[in-house]
Amino acid sequence: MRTYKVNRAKTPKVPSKESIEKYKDFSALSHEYDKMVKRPKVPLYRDKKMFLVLLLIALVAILLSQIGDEESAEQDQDEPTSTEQVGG
Amino acid sequence: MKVTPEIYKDDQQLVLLAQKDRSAFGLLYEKYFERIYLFIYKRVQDEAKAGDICQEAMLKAMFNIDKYENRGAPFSAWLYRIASNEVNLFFRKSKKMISVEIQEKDLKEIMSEISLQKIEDIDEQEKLIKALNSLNPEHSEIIDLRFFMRYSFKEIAEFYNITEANAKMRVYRILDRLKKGWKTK
Repeated sequence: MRTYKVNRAKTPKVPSKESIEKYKDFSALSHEYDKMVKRPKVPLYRDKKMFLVLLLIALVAILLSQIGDEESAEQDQDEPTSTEQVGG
Repeated sequence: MKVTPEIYKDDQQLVLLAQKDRSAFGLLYEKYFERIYLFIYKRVQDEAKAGDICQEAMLKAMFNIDKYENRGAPFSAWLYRIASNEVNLFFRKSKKMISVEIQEKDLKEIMSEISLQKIEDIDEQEKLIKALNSLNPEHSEIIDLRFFMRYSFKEIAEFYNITEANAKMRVYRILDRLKKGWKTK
């Protein structure tokens, strides 16, 4: 948010070339840019936290697939085969 | 590639170089930093903040240089536009009110543009300040460019990538609005 106010007396201050130079830093800018675009040097699985998260995701996936397998096996057992239906 | 003075003068060639190799953006940075800094400083009137905003604007320009297309307007207009967006973002984000000084003569110029009689009258000037403070950010940006940063209509047109006639129309529409608000008060 900003508001205007009138400057009635003094002449406006303009920063000198030297003070502008203080803020000029292309190497800092390049560094920031690299941080933004480059992939991290350490792979994800080397990061301890990320490793635990990946492990957890893998465990959950295995668990879910096992539950799914068990359910489908139970369904196969419950359903009578076509020969049983004809015979009974 | 060796950068000759001719290439340094030609922004489009420098942009092409930066699009191919980001480190070449340094040439554009070197060329425009001071101008962009002063543009930002005029709007925020704080050296350190202007420095931070300028770096942020340059970073965005470097990041988006691939998206830049030459549509006839100078490359600098694209940079100024990014810088202006960063300034607007800064004002929007800041929680406390930031006062920006404007010169009395600039204020008087607006008053005479909207045909106000008593341009020396301090009460009238304060009334105008109040009206300017109530403008939305887009409108106050145009007023800033035209009256406080002394942009010509051509420069405003390049800044917004519009025609000069359209730029004039935008400025006079805002002045008209200020004038109408005056009459109703």
